[in-house]
Amino acid sequence: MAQPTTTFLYNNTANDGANSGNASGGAGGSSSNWVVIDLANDSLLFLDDQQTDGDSRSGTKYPFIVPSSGTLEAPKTFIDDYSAGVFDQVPLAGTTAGEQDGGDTRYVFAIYFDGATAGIPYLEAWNSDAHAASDDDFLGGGTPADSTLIAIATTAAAPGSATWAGTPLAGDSNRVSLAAAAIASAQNVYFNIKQVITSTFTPQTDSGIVLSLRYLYS
Amino acid sequence: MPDPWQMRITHESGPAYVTPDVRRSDPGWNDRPRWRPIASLELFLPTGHRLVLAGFESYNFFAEATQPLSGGRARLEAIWLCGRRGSSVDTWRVADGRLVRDIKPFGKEWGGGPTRGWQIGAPGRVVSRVVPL
Repeated sequence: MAQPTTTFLYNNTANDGANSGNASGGAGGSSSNWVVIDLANDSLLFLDDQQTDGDSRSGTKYPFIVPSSGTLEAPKTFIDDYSAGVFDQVPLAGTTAGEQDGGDTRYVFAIYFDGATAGIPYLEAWNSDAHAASDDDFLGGGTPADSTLIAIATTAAAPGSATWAGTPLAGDSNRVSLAAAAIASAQNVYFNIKQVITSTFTPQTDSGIVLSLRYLYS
Repeated sequence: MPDPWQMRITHESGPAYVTPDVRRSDPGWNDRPRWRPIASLELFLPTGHRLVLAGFESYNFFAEATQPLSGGRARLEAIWLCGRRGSSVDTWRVADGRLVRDIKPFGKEWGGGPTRGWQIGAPGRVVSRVVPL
């Protein structure tokens, strides 16, 4: 049970199929297509519906706008694909409250473990990769339930609702279990994620929040 | 004597097993002869101390790592030693120059959930403390 190598991937199609290519990605089940995330250079973006799949990463970036009332789920989700030089859309991200094809879908983001873990793997969000604080305004400003990043594990099954509620992410108190138990052998775990902003939200201009995987090995 | 960050596993009988540096990607917990009940675990610390667990029914060891989605390589966050006695687990978290001891229900010893890798011990007088070398 030495330290497993982990690979983050996303499905850049609207087809809800498993990552059968494991660490390599590529063509998956049900005509899905899985792309490996370059953890050193790529990033996850929640953007306005003006942004189009395949837009150049050096072109205009359209952030989504704080709503005048109520809440707003990010209309579109992208990976800023550094090597390809484009914003690559993740069509199944989020719920039907967004403007993509997401909803009660299972295979959106994957993390492939090439070996066992000694405990349940968790998806977390922190102010920075120091993993020391989680009070960024995007993470609820000290109130984890108000975090704008909301995720749901789909390793075992689809959410069961096209408007799934999920868990607001903030530190290790509000996080998502990506499996029901420790991982016994190489496998993928899956999750979906959305960003939801309220009309009263004021963005923190110096934010550098990160999503992180936490796991055990021996 | 083992080097700092090595762990000595003393068996009820037979030779002791000394792990490699437990901060490595393969800490060696699963490489010892598992059919021999463990009498004690000793983690040697760079401060001139050792963390000792002895007398428990079973033991676990694991490393805690994080992998940021945007940020490059995985990072070791902590080293954990655990000793189980009945339904409770003595846990020691070694991280950031600190040792934190806690008692958790078995099955909820890390992150509110169970862990894998438990190895049988030789029950006796329980020791769970930090001592000088």
